[in-house]
Amino acid sequence: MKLDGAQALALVRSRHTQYLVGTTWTEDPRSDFGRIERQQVFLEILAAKLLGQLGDPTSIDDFVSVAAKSLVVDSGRTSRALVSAAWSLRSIGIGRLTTDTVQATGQIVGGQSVLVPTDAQLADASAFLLASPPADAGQTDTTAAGTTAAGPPAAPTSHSP
Amino acid sequence: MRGNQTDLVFTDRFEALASIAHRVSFRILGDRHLAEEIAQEALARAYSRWTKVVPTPAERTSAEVGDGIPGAAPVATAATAVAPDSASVSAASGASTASTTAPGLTHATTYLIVGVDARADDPAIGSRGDTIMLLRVDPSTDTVRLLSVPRDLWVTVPGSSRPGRINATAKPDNPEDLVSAPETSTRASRSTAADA
Repeated sequence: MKLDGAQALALVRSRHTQYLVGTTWTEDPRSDFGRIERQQVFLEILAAKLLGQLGDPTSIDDFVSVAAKSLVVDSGRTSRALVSAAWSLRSIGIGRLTTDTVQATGQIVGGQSVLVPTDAQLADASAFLLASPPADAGQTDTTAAGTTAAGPPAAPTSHSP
Repeated sequence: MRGNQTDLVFTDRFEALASIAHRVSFRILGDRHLAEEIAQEALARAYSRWTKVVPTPAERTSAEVGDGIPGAAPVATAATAVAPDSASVSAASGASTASTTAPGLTHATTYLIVGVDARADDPAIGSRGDTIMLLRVDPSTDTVRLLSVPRDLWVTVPGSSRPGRINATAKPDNPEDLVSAPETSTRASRSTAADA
């Protein structure tokens, strides 16, 4: 399946996506978490495709030039930061990408529907990002399980106490 | 013979590469002479590792077949599509010294990626962070990690005693707030301050 720009935009922005289940269209009940998952899968595929194309310095420079037109980048190290990131991503390889989401529970606070995280959930997110072992080495924790499409997250490799 | 092939390809592309290397160096450094020096060194290094820089035709083909998505055209459109209306990439880069070594990152770097929801035809909406992600690239451990932050996450914004939605902190005119919000919440480290 191939998406054009507008379809891709709709896919990654929609918070009310319906999936065809059997013969009926059913709304994804996960709202923002569902959207995040679609964004992650989309970016993963896009990155893999993109890095396959960035075969030499010419194409990386060209890509950064094009991408910079659609992005607002920090003042200062614009080109340098993007080119460095592209090089590193390419040499590390997209197979090493793992994704996760900050977990939180839906609550109504002051009439607003918000997601309230616990300290443990924030700590899990932090540990995931920094690729450090979980703070509590207990077995009860499942929130840090990555929703990656590229295999299990690399975090729990250190099973030794 | 491999060496001769390399020489041929390199000579063939030298002019184009020299021009690009110089242009990129100049854009980064802002100094013409320094840019020339860097460009020359870069090309010298590229030559010594040429077979690694440019994949052979066989490698390139397998990479394209491997991901199962045919056609090169959608890449550019999709790349722009990721940015809803305008996206702001805040590069919390730690590479503050001018490095003349490999073009990749020298150490772990975390990028804040924000899709901003702002509509030109309806300024009353204001602008909010609609999609918030932290991307951490660590060349020392060869890991790439992408952490999504839900836009409705209830956090305490630095400098404020009252909690609020994290996306309300993402104002394009003050991205520092959004940078510090997830930092406080997730204690993600940020190696250097972004230029304000």
